[in-house]
Amino acid sequence: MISEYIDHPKEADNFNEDFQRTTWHDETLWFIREKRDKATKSLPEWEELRDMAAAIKSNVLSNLDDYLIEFETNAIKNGIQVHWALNAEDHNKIVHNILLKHKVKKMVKSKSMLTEDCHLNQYLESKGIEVIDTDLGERIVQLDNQPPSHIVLPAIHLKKEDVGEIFHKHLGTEKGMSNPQALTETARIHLREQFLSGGAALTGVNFAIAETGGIAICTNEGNADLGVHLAPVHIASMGIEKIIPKLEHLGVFTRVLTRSATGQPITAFTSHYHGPRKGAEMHIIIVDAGRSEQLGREDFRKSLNCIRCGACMNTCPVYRRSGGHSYGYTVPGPIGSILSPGIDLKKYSSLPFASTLCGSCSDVCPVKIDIHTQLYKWRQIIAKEGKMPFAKKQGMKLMNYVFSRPSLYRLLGKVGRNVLGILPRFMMYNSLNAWGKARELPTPPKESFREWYLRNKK
Amino acid sequence: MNQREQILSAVKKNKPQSTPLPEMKLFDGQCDSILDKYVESLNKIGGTCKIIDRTEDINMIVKSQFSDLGQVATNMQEVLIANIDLKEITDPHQLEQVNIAVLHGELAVAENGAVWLEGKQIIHQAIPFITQHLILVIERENIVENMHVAYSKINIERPSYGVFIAGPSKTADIEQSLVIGAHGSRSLLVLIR
Repeated sequence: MISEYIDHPKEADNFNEDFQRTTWHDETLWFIREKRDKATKSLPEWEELRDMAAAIKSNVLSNLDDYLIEFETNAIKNGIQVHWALNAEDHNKIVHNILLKHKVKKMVKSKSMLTEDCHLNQYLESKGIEVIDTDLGERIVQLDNQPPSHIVLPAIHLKKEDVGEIFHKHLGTEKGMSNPQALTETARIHLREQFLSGGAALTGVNFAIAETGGIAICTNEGNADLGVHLAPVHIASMGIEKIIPKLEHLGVFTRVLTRSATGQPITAFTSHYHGPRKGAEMHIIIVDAGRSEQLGREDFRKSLNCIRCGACMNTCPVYRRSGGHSYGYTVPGPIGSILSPGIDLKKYSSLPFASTLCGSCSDVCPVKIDIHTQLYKWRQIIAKEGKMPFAKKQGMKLMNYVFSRPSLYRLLGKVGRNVLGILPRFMMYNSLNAWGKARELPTPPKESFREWYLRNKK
Repeated sequence: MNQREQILSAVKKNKPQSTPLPEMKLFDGQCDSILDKYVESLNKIGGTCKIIDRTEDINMIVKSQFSDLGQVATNMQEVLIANIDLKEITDPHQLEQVNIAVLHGELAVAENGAVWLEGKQIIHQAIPFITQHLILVIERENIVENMHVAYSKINIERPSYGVFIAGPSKTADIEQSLVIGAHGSRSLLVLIR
């Protein structure tokens, strides 16, 4: 596979060029994290719900083949046509064939990270089919020809003035219009036309219920529903891990999903599709694309628990200050950094290092994925396979050399303590010392702990 | 092997040792007044609520809230102000101009303000989404405490469509400013009888 290396530190640097915007991004996401805290603390059973959600997912992964067959059987009984796709290419071809059969020229699409990952839009556009993303945030970035920068808040990196500019360029609004209410109204009118003229509607899947052969989709805007209920064809794309065994399990997942994502008690719309409406067609495409392989990696399979709430992004100090685009992967942030190396280790080898390992991601995860532990484990694999960047590799070697020689370590420590205080600034705060950026070094102490200990041990 | 078999055999080969499903709980009995909790939750998510004594009052309430009714659709006999017969409509695109939809909800949830609607009952699945304003009518005794209880009461007939609606449609996709009225209804009024 040909892959270009994603240089997260470099991309993060670019994002940080506009200091005020970075601070705004950081604070906005932290505000959402605080809303999440408020929502979860209002439930005394919160931790029990997380345990239940994690246990259900663990049961799903350990019986996934049986559940997939059960889901398929029941979905077919409901009049749904079920397709299987090994990879992105298979998936895109299946979608295209369905659209060809119905002579669809325009498809409306609600949020689906899976199809984003498959580059479905570009594929269909190359075949002459127009694809309209209907989630407001996704439509904004689609018009501007960008990928989403967050899985729940696709346009979180843009300011309202940016959106005003994009709408001015593509939807003909007045120049300089930046009122969110007015911009949303413009999008509403524009997208209503699209909903009414869509030849097919594609949606993602939040949960696929094995017991009933139906799917649940959660949105706040109502865009998935408007598309599906008007179009003659509904296509739903899902990863194999979206299965839950029983309807009653939705009780757990609907309670944890939105509280974790935005701090709302539930999304405005939670739709349950168990078959096509009269006179329409419904298709479900079950996609593997690396998931069965991830299932076989003992240390990393738990990443398949993910229900795409985005809480780990909102809480991550690195994500908040580097922005979603710096990750170069459809799912950014901590969860993306443990999913992506399994897809392409070389390309995404900088992502597991885009973390302070503070563990906040694992603390907020509603399905209890040990994200920070997995980040650490990917680092070990990346180092072992020699995929670490040159500077980091040399730095590690040097540290290893010093740390395994106690007397050298002590000598260097002494030199450091004496020299750091008298060195001119330019020698310490320059491009070679990343830690000196926007940070003052502490005043060096007069003696080391060891020296203090030896002096005081009597 | 076709794609289906390849995926299933890879999953079978790679899956871990089986772990049991956890025992489900209802977590109910936590709030003193389910009705009060429902009203509080609904207000928080941008909906409004009125308690009505007689079903016929719906007509008067709707007329007093909207100076110009426009097209009104309903699935309730008692709603006399309706001027569109949903059963007469064959193509959901014809619902484009509906201004107000008054729909009967099967169940409501106190913890989050949601109301459960069933596709068969509302005749056209598009109606609660395509209407500009949505009015839902529920019975006081059909409000349950939380989602666990709600799912234990829902009977999914198959094939079918069902939806929990919690508030008017909304978005915060532009700078996290909450805007009510994204693609679906611009307002939600819940009438409790």
